[in-house]
Amino acid sequence: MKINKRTWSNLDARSLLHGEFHHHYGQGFHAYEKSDWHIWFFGNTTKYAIFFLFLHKYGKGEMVSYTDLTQTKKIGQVSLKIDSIKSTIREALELGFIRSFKSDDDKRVTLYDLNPDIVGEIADYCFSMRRNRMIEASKFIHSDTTLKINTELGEAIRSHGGEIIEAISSAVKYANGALERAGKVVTLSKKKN
Amino acid sequence: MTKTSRHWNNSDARSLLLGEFHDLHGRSYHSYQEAEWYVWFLGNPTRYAMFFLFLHKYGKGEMVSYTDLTQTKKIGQINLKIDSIKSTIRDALELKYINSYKSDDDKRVTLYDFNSGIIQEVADYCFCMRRNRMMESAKYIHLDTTLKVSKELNEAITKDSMLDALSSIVEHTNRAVEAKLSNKNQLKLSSKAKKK
Repeated sequence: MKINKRTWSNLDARSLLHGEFHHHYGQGFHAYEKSDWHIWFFGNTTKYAIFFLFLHKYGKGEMVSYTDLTQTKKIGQVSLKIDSIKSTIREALELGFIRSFKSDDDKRVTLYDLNPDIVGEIADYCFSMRRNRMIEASKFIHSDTTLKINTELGEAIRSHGGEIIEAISSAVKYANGALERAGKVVTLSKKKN
Repeated sequence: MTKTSRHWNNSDARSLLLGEFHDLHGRSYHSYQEAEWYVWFLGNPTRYAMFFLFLHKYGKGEMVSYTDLTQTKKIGQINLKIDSIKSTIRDALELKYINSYKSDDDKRVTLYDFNSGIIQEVADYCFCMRRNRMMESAKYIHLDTTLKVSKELNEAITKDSMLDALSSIVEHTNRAVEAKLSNKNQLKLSSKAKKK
């Protein structure tokens, strides 16, 4: 196994492990736990990897090609096997989770896309996941972190240069706005010289 | 299938789906992609569910009992099967990812805990996941969101129970931004945070 650069005390480790569980637990708060598509796509590591490839391509307004599928990696950075890709795609088509099209450029090429009937639910699932992650992250920093974790998180944020600072600044503005609307603004934002 | 109470147009859906992919992509930034414990625990839904049970119990300073395992649910809210629990625990013990102990209260009861040999790596993995999620969230709000998604997120996070926590994270990130900017003499703070 690889050596990590950071060392965590028992207290830090407990905080991090517990936090990760809370994140996992938070991921359960959505309306699609028993939806067919959710159970199917999350049923094994191949389907899971393929699901996120479809999210990526749909988000970019593109379709999934066979080449995309063969370049996709699952847990352990293992490429998906051709037989496994074929059977998974066949099953997804049969279940109506995806659709296939012939490429306009080359009719020999088949392209795949998410079935529009489930896109609304998948989008709502993605929204719920994002909301749950934001809520869990806020709670962790507020209640469950340690000084060392806070320092390391701050360090990681600072080491990512201007781009992440701009992003964080934007997120701070966003969160400040939410807090102001609720009439509960943090001291730093209200500070006057 | 369950009906959604929110409605997302195509632009929102694309933003949300791409954002979710970015979250997954961000999750790969850690040193343990090929670590044996990582590949093993995240290799199937039963082990995945057990992994998070072990995180939960370790975080609380407790051990995992057989009852905990039988109450654990995997994808689809299905309880883990007894045969599956037994074989997975046997495998994890053989691979030395977990240790077993006899309960002090009742010697007939076996309890399980992470092997202390992998705790540092698991903790560091959890740290990387948290860091990556924070960065992805910040970037999403900054660059990739839509008005509708933004509004709905606001709705979700302005609930009373969230305000204290949110206040804390704002303070935390303000400090990080201010520290960075004071080093570089750049003026990129949000107007709210700079207001005098």
